[in-house]
Amino acid sequence: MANTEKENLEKKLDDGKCSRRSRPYYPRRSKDKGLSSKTNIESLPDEMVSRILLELDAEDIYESAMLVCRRWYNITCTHNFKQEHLEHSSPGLVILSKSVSQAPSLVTISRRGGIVTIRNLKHPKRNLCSKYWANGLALENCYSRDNYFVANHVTNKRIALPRYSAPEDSNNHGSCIGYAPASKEYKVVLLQSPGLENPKVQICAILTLGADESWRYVDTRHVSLAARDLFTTTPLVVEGFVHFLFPSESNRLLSLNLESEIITETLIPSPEGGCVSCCLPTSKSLTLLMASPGNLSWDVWEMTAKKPGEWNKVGKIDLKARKSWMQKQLGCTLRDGLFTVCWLNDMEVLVLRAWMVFDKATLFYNVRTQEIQVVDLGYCSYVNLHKNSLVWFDHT
Amino acid sequence: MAAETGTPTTLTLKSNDDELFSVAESAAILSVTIRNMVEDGCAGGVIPLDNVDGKTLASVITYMNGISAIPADEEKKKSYRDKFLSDKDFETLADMVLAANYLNMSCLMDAVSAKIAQVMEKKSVGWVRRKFGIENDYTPEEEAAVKEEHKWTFEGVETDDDN
Repeated sequence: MANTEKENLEKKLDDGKCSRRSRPYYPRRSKDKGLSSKTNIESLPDEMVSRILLELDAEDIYESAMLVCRRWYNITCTHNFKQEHLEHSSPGLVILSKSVSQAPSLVTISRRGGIVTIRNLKHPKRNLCSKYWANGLALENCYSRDNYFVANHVTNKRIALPRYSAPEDSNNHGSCIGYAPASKEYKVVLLQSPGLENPKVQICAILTLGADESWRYVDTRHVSLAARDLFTTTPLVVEGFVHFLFPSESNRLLSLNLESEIITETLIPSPEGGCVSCCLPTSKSLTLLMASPGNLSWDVWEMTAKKPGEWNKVGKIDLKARKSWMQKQLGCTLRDGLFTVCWLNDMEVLVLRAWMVFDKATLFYNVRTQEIQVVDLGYCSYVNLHKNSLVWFDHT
Repeated sequence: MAAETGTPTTLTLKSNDDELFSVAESAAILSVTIRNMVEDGCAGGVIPLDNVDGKTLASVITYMNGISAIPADEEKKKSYRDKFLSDKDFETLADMVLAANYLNMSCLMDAVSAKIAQVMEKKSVGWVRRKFGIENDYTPEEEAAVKEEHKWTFEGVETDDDN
């Protein structure tokens, strides 16, 4: 497969017809620091140029920095750089707007000053819907057929996945793409029930990107009857796991470990007094926000990948005192309170919207500084966490 | 090691152009390089910093004093850093990256790198080259090859883009 692409390019760069004109690259470093040789980016060693370029968004690296000169290309084209860049960048919130033809946008909180920035994601194929994202890659589904694609919208790469031949009458539920950090593999998961006759039988198919030619099945026979319905919920992807839960109806949690491909069933903390709780992923953990009556304050529970099944209360968020200020900002009464949309920058910022009011602005509450930014994102039909990245799955 | 005795310890730093600077040990140990010297007990006399010139060292010391005067409040430190870097030109920033690297000051390194990168955000290739005085050493063929690589590639995707 293709490392070949890079090799091809390197070949092109070193190719006979090019090489007559190409010159080997010598970094221009100041030879004698005593002389007044001006320091500039050119005179910095590679590792520092690399450190600087890591700060850029993947799009800026791909569309600009890589083309600046050979040296910058060589720094940014390595697998290590791409991986480091991925780890260095914070995930943003992908928002699909009302119309499918409109490109999704990515909302991020910059590390510099904590300002909310919104940019459109590149999304060139109109007949594809990207719903799930993991570590820089998007899983796309063609509406008309049962075909799935994986794409990196920054580096303009897309691959069709092997076709999954579903039994007749089967119902598609969720699909998602996740990342297994230990084996450094991306895996795509599809969930189906094979028809009305056996509504409680669930199929969980899995595919390792770059390795599998066909779909494999994950054993679901041990999952209790009470928990089987959870497979029809929207999968929540965190690093190394795909979780299925529906906290307002069931205290069970199904977790698919993406390394071992084993599904475990555990319990989540029960909400007290019938309050609504909501489950939000961060990049590495799963959190549960249990609302107090009025939906303006929440107990925050967290389960980390290190201790699956073990929940700890990590804090409380209380916005009751800010109610009138928020009402003024939003221009509506918060009769039903707020609902929690997602975390940004790993639990630094909680994104909230007004319950039952869909056309109002979104609130970005910084847990540390307790500042609230109000941003109008319009109508949001779907939200997910995503990082713009340069990665592809066929490295190693 | 540090000044538990009450009188703050002062260190003397020497730049590569032989300028001498006095700085409180508590501020200077923001540099891991200097901290290691202090811990190894070899910071008694003058500490020579062979890779930093006087102008840059003066700047770094201003930063050390400024940031160490702020109590443990990440927000305030961040805004100090932003303010400190706001009036620095590229040459100074590049010198500071080198100094921060040599002195092993990760917070300064991060801030300066981010500051330099900020200038490149959403800018064209030509703009970046001009701004940083970088010579385009691609041949036209190579540049075309890189651009070609950056087009959409479809692996195993049937062509159905007729709509």
